[in-house]
This record gives sequence, C-alpha cells and structure tokens, in this order.
Amino acid sequence: MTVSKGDSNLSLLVILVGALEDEFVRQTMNLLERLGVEFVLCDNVYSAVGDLAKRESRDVLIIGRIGLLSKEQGRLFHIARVKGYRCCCLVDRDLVCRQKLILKAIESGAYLIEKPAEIEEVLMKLLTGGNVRSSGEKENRRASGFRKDEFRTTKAELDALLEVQSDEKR
Amino acid sequence: MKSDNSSCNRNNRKILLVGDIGKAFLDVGNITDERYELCANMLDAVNAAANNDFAGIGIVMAGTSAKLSSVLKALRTGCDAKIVLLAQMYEEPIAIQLLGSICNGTNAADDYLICPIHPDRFYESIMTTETRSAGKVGLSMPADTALETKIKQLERLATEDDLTGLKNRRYIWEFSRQIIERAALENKRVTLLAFDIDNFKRYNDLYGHSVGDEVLKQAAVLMQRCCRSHDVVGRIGGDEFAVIFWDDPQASPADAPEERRSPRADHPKEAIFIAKRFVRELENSELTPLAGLGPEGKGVLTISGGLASFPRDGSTIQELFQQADKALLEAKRSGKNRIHLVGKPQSDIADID
Repeated sequence: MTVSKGDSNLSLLVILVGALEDEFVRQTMNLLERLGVEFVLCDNVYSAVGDLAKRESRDVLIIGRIGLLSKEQGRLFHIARVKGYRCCCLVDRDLVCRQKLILKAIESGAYLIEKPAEIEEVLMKLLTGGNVRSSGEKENRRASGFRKDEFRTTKAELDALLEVQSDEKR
Repeated sequence: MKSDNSSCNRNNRKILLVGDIGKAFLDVGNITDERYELCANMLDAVNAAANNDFAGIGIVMAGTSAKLSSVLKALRTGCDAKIVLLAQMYEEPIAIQLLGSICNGTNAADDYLICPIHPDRFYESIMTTETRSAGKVGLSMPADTALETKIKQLERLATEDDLTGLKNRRYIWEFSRQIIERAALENKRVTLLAFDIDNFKRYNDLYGHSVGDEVLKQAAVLMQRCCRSHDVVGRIGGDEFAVIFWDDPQASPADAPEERRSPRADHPKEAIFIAKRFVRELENSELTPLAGLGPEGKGVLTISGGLASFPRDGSTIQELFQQADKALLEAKRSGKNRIHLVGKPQSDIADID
C-alpha cells in the first residue's frame, strides 16, 4: 500500500485501486501529486474497503478501472454509497462490462470516465467546491430518490458509452 | 484502534461467518443471531470486520481460494479478530499454505477446521483459543493444549488407517463426495482407482501376518510416492486401496476446458500415467519382507485394479466405486496384474500410450 501525504488544507482523500504497472494508475498518481491531493494506493477492492473504515471523517473518492471496482457483484459501490463516499470508474472501451454493474456504479453516484485524462476534470470539479459526498444514505436517499436531472445526466453518459461499445463491435 | 482482545471478554462478542455456511456446518440451525453475524460476500465481510469488534471470523473457503489471500490481508489490516478457515477436505493443502504465509507481520489465518463441522466445535475453537499477540509470528497457542492435542489425535484416528498411515474408508468416501460436488460446479475432473494386491492371502499364509502387513505398508508407500501431492490415497479394507486423482486445486475453473466434463471425455491422462508408473514401480521393487526369496522376491508383488472417472462413468461416489470394482473384477478374471479402464472392455492401461 502506497500512501502519499498531500496538501493538509484539502479534506479530499483519494483511494486509488490498481497496480503500479497500470498506466492509468501511474498517470493518476502523478496528477494527484501535482494537485497536492492525499492518496492511498490499494492493490484490490478488499484492501480499499478495509482502508475506508479508517477514513470516517474524510471526503473520500475511490478511483479505479470499473473491472476492478465492480468485483464481488459491485458491492463496493453499495458500501461507498452507504458511507457517503464517491467512486470514479474508468470504463475501458475494450472491456465488455456488464450493463448491470455500470448501473450499480451510476446508482451509487459514481463518476464514469472513458479516458484516463478525464480524471483531472473530475478532481478539479471536486477541489473547486464540488461536494465529494455522494447523495447516498447520508441524506437518507435511495438510488430511486436521485434528482431527475442528476440521473438523466449519468444515464446519458451510460447510453453514450454503450453506443460507443456497440459501434466498435460492428 | 480496536482494544486488545486478550483483555476483553470474548464471550460477549459476536463471530463473523463468511461464505456459504451450508457447506461448512452439520447443523446450520444452530447458527443463531445472538452468536453470529453472517456475510455471504467477501467485500461485505471486510467492511463488517473493519467496523465491528468481532471475537473471531470464520471463512468458508469453498471455491474462494483464488481471492482468499487478498481478503485475509485486508481483514488483518482492518481488525484483530481470530481468523479460522473452514476448509473442505480437498482444500486442506491450501489452508495449510495460507496458515503458513505471513501477512502484516503475522500469520494470514490463525487456524483451520475441516468441514463439515458442528457449530459448537467451531464456536469453542474461537472462544477457547487465545488470539495472536500483536507482531508475534506463529500459530496461536491454545488455552488448553492437552485438550487440543487430544482432539487432533481423535481426528487422526477417525480418518487414518492405523497400519499404513493412509486415509481410511470413511475419509475417502467423504472426501470423494465433496470433491465430486466441487467438480460438478467447477468443471473439474475426478478419477478413482480401486486396486487390490494379487494373491494377498498367500503372503499371509506362507510368510505370516507380519509379512502381509509389511506388504500392505510398502504398497502404500509406493503408491504415495507415485502420486501427486494433492491426490488422496486410502486403504478401504483388507488389501483394498483407493486413489482419488483430481485437478490441481490451485488451477482456476477457467483453466478447465469445457469438454472435460463431457460424458464422452476420455479418462484423464495424468491418472493413467500415475497408475502405469505405480505398476512399473511394483515390478521393479524388491520388497523387504520377501528379500529372503532372493531374485524370486523381485517383482512378485502385483496388483489388479479398475479406473473410473467422473462424469463419464458415474455422477456419485457410489457409482464410481461400483464401476471401478467391476473393472477390477474384469482385470482379475483376465489374469490379474493389470488395471482395466471402465468403458474400455479388456483394455489394460499398459496398452495405452
């Protein structure tokens, strides 16, 4: 497990799930260091969930490829939602990810990105006043209680993603 | 930070049970809410363990070995409860391996128990044993070592054959039942070789029972030497033996081609190879108790056997034994000193390349 101390004024903590050999992980680590965001690198979802328990008072963003984050039928998304944390998943184009898991990610309020570079946009949004806390059970709202526009946006993202995938298959 | 377990009253704390408990316990009805918290999912278990103060954690291994070391590592980081692995018989080598592996400066797990097990036995194993102390490497020390030793002795007596040290009939049947159940779920193969020693009565009558016993022991040693470490060799009665060949426990289900489970699939080559090697070893061996016979003592010990495979020759252990026994009888009738394959009449394994 790699831990990097960032700017102590920022309440945001990133739990990055993946291996150092992964280019996406290395790019994200460089970006987090540049932005001064504290992060913890976890090999897998199990150590990520173990680590989450120590971060009760922090704003946590969990970043990783959707294939990794959705292990164990996407239970991480549920746990993150209950704790009020947010996930950011890289939806690999070459990964035939099951729609059900993408929906679970969306229901938890996760950000879905298509390209590694898009992570910067998400982080900037959160660092410049965006609330990292998901609209999960902290506000006693269920997935069905998401604001319509909030869900519509992510659904549109999903449609776009799935369309890209099906285009590529053709 | 969690409080030190050794200073807490363990009886007031719950036990976390992870996985399919139906595969682990004899009487699931005894698993009560007052004592236990259940988690079907490994990720939920890590989360629950990190957020609660459990006295112990029981993990049903069945089919989870691939991710278990990651899970154990996360559990060790998040809590200091005693971790007991609940292993199927065929998972014992993996459980031992995990117990020996070091994780965050201590053993990945504290103990393992072979299933099926009575819930009270599991509860006692959690409650009567001290937890590992922080930073200490090594197995946990039981509070009552003498009792623990006695239990281990009784377990050995119940599962091993006194004379040869091989597994006994009871173990072979229960192991086979579990391994066939797993094979059906995970697309794995299981092969049974049943064999006995040709003219065994003659050894007893000519040289005495002590010589007969030595013959059995040496046949057992030879067979074990020919098998892979995970194959199980047992003496199921008199001069009758059984060997269970099965796919490498470390291989993932995805490694097994679909055609393996086809009823038309051939007997696994590995099992045939090991059986042939055993016959060859017997031919070349000079059995100590028969050394007095001089050159005549060499190669006098022969066996006859039958080889049956799941699923091609049967879907239960009873069916496999019936089929293997039939093939064994055919081998005897055809002149002994041969192993017949079920479904291939009159075919001795010696004729197979």
